[in-house]
Order: sequence, then C-alpha cells, then structure tokens
Amino acid sequence: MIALLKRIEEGCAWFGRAVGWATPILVISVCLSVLMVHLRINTLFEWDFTVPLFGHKITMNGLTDLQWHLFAVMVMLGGVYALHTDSHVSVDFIASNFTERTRRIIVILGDIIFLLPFAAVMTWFAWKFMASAYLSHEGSSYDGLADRWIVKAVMPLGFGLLGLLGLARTLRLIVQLILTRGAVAEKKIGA
Amino acid sequence: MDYFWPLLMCVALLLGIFSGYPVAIALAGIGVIFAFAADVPIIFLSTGVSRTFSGILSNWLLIAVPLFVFMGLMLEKSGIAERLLRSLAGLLGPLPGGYAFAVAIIGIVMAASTGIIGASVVLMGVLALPVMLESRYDPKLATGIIASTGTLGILIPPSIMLVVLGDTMRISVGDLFAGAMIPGLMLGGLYIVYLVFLAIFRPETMPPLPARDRLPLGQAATRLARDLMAPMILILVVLGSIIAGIATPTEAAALGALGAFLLALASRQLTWKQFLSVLNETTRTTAMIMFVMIGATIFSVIFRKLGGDVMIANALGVDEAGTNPYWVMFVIMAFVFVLGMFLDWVEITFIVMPIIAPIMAGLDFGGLSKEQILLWFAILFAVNLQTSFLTPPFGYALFYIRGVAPAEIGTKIIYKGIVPFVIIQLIALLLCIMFPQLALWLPEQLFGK
Repeated sequence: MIALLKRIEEGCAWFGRAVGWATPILVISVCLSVLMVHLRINTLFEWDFTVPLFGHKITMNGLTDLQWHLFAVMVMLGGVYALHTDSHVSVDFIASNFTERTRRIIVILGDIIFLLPFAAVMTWFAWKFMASAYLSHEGSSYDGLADRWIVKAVMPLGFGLLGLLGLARTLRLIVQLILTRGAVAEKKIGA
Repeated sequence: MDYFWPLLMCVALLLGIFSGYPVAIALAGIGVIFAFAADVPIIFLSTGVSRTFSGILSNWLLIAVPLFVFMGLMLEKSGIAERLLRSLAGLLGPLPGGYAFAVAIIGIVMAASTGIIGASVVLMGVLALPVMLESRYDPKLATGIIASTGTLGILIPPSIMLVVLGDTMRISVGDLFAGAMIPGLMLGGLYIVYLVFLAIFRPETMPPLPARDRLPLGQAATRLARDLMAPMILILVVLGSIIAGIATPTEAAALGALGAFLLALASRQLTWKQFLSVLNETTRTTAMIMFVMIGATIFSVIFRKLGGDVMIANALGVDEAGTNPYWVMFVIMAFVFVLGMFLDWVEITFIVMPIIAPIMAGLDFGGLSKEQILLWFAILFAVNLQTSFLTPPFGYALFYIRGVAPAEIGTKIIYKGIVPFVIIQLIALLLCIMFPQLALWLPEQLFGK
C-alpha cells in the first residue's frame, strides 16, 4: 500500500524532473531569436506539411511563443516536483520546534484543507479553459504557434498531478501515522 | 462588521503560513475555501485560472527568472567565487582587514551575479568564514560582513526580485535596474567605509592573513585580472544591454546564461552531474517563485472581492484629507519590515505589493509623478526588505549564516555582529527616503524621463 502510494508520488514528480531540460532549450531559443532580430530573419524553417503546434513554419513570433510555452510547462510541472521535494517556500521558524509527528499532521491537514480543494477547483476550471481553446481552434493571431490548447493543457495536467500527488501523500502519511502510532522513523516528508 | 471576511482571511493566512505548510498552496487554498464560505460567485475562481495563464504562464518577461537563476547557479558551480577570493586575498591579505575587504568586494560581485540571498550567504559562509576565523578575526565582524554583503543580492541588479517587482508594479525593469544601481553601490561603499574605519581604529579585530596564504604581488594581480575579468564582463554586458535598452531583460538573461555556461565549461570544473543538478535546481526555484505568484493571484482575487483592499486603504487612513504622505509611507515601510522578518521577498512582493503600490502611487510627494513615486518606492521597498533580512532575531540571512557557521559561534555573536551593519542599512534607507534622487537620477539621465 505504502509502496504503491510512493510510486504514484514518484510518478507525479517525474514530469518535473524531466522539464529541467526546458532551461537549456530556453537559453538556446532566446539567443537564437536575438540573433534572428539582428540578422533580420523572420522565417527560420518552412516545410510543406502541417505539424501540430508548429503548423508549417517556424517564425520569429513562433519562437517567442515557444519560449513562453516552455516556461509554462516548467512552472506547472516544476511546481508539482517542488511539492514532492518539499522545496516550496515555507516559514519554519515556528514549525522547526514541532515534533516530527506534529509536522506530519500539519502536512496532512494542509493537504486536505488547502491543497486538495485548490487543486480540484483549478483542474476543473483549467480543463474548461483548455477545452474552449480546443473547440475554437485558438492559435496565434500574429503568425506564431498554432494550437494554443496544447499549452493550455499543461494547466489541468499540472493542477491534476498536484492534486494526485497531494492525495497520495496524505493517504500515505495517514497510513504511516496509524501504523507507527506516531513514532516516526523517517525524517523526510516527501517520498 | 464590514470587514468580517477579509479579516478572517488574514487570520487564516497567518495560521496557514506559520504552520510551516508551503506558503503558495496555503494562499491558494485559503482563496478557494473563502470563495465557497463567503458565497462568492464561482466565476471569480475561474478568473484565477485565466489570470494565471495570461499574467504568469504566458508572461514573456518572467522567462528572465529561470534564465537568471541558471546564470547564477552556473557561475557558482564554475568555482569563480573561490578563485576570486583566493586571488583577492593574495593581493589584500597582508593588510590588516585585507581579507574582509576581499569578502566585501566578492560579496558585491556575487550579489550582482546570483541575486539569491541564501545562495550567496551560504557560499561565502563556507568559503570565507573558516579562513577569517582561523586568522583570528573578530567572529562578530566575520559573520556580519558575510550576511550583509550576501543580502545585497536582492538589491544590486540583475536581481531576480527586481525583475519580479517590475512585473508586479508595471515598471520597466530597465528603470528599476538603473534606479537600484546607486543605492546598491552606496550600500556596498558604506560597508567598505566601515571596514576602513575599523582597520584604522581597531585593527586587532581584523588581523592580516598568515603568511602562507599570501601571493607575490605580481602573481596576485595577474590572477585577479584573469579571474575577475570574465565574470565582470559578463555581468556588465548583461546589465549594460538592459539599462541601455538594447536588449530586454529576457534576452540579456539568455545571453548571460549562455555566457555563464561557457565560463563554467572553460573552468573545467563542471561535471555532468553538476549540470543536471543545476537544471533541477533552476526548475525548482522558478516553480517555487511562480507558484507563490499563482497562490497570491487566487488569494487576492477573492480578498479584493470581499473588500480586503478597501480595508487596508482605510486602515492606512488614505482617504482622510490631510494625512501626511510620509506617515502613510512610514506605516507601510514598518509593515513591510515586520513582514520581512518572517517571510521571504517572494511572498511579500506578491501578496503585499499589489495592494500597497496603488496606495503609494496616489500620494502626493511634492511634485513627483506617479511613475517616479512607484520607482522610488520600489527601491525603498528593496532596501527595506534587505535591512529586515539582516535584523535579529528573525533575519533570514542570519539563519543561513547560522547554518554554515561552526558550533562555537553562537547565535548571540551573530546577532551582535550584525548590529553595525543594520545601522548602516538604516542610514542608507533614510538617505534614500530623504533624497529620492538617489534612486531617480540615473534612470532619468539614461532614459530622459
């Protein structure tokens, strides 16, 4: 049971580990746009068939769009990863005096009171937000990237994973708390 | 009770934050719960989603944040700080207090390159503190100088905080960087003046380095030129292109990131494992900052809907005629100072700034335009927060230095050591309040506003 929940937590966080690669792509892509501006190139590549997201060419504006797409992916999935690794900012000058048990109870309560309602509501609205972009074939109106719904999909995905991670973590912490009757061996809260 | 809900929200927020639960999630969760509890139309929560998308995820300016984080981490991993410290110490070490000057100068350079206070305080604490203690520096002075130069990172551009502040307050980042230059360098200068003063009148607090760490003068100078040159050029190019308006902050940050990566490669100290950990840390730091922004967005949509912004404005007495603008500013600054003892700049910027910036902009400071007031206030805000991070008993920087200092350096020593630096900070803050031109002059000269 605990092993399964830990697997789920790891799975949710995996995405965030993977998006680390967004940074070098971002660096290269922004440097490339700077170069293109100075050389006055507008269209980088063109081809005859249609590729999802890119359409049939990569333009300057397409590159700019790509940059914030990468950023959006990085923020949403990275946020899930940061929750997993416990690296979100928190104020611990009071909490550091608590026992390990109290701290775990706070995490459980926080997950149930704050995280789960927030993740559920946001996933729901973000899903509708994405769906309306998909139905209206929303894309760039200035020759950038097509298929805006793809980047919008990262919001329900991110909030959804956040909720799933929170749920798995809470269940695991509750089970562990009951099993150990509060005598906590592991210090780390994340899996 | 007019302000029942917003007051209750503040109480819930305090509880949530001090419980030690992640602030970003607590903010968002409180927003959602109160939307249901106070029967706010559900549509307001969906604006949370659209604002997250349009204000944060698709905000091209904010891309500068991961790029600057990456740049700072790369410079850190390339071991530039270590080499700089060694060569500067070789040059200045024989003088009384020489090493302290070296630490102050590197603190200022590193502050400009990383912009993350925890990182620079910890780095200098690990590198320089043992050397200073070994050569019998007064431990109070040693910890004080490291903590205070490390926190300059939030003020001296390219600071990540200024990028985010520019976005939140709708001020150009170029203006903010230019505006922060003089106050930032002034603070660094005041620290150095204080060190000179100590070196002359109380040289026993900072003895010269033992002879084995000294380098021949010529060798030290060439090493210094080599080590200092590359990062200085990088920082100057990044800053210069933003301030001169040639590049946007995002573009300059990308070029800086590429440059820092090449420097790290050239230093031959970068391993594959380190590179992966830099990527990882960049993602986490970026997501951490942006999630507080998302949480604060959702919190403030509901907080405003329930009348929270009116409550704050009333509490500050803004609407009453004849309120002294300096009094309002004093109250705000005192409030920010107190918050800075408990919260990091990320939360304060996103929670407090959107509420108080319009209040400040509406005040009359004898002929300053709205834009000037906002710019001036942003700089005051940064200096104020930096002071607050240094002030015992809760200053952030003090916790970091405590974390890396050897056990025999008690908290008491750290607290005592920081006092003169806090006084310097307060003098600088007062100067910036009395002379808005300290912040406004350089942007005016550069951009003719």
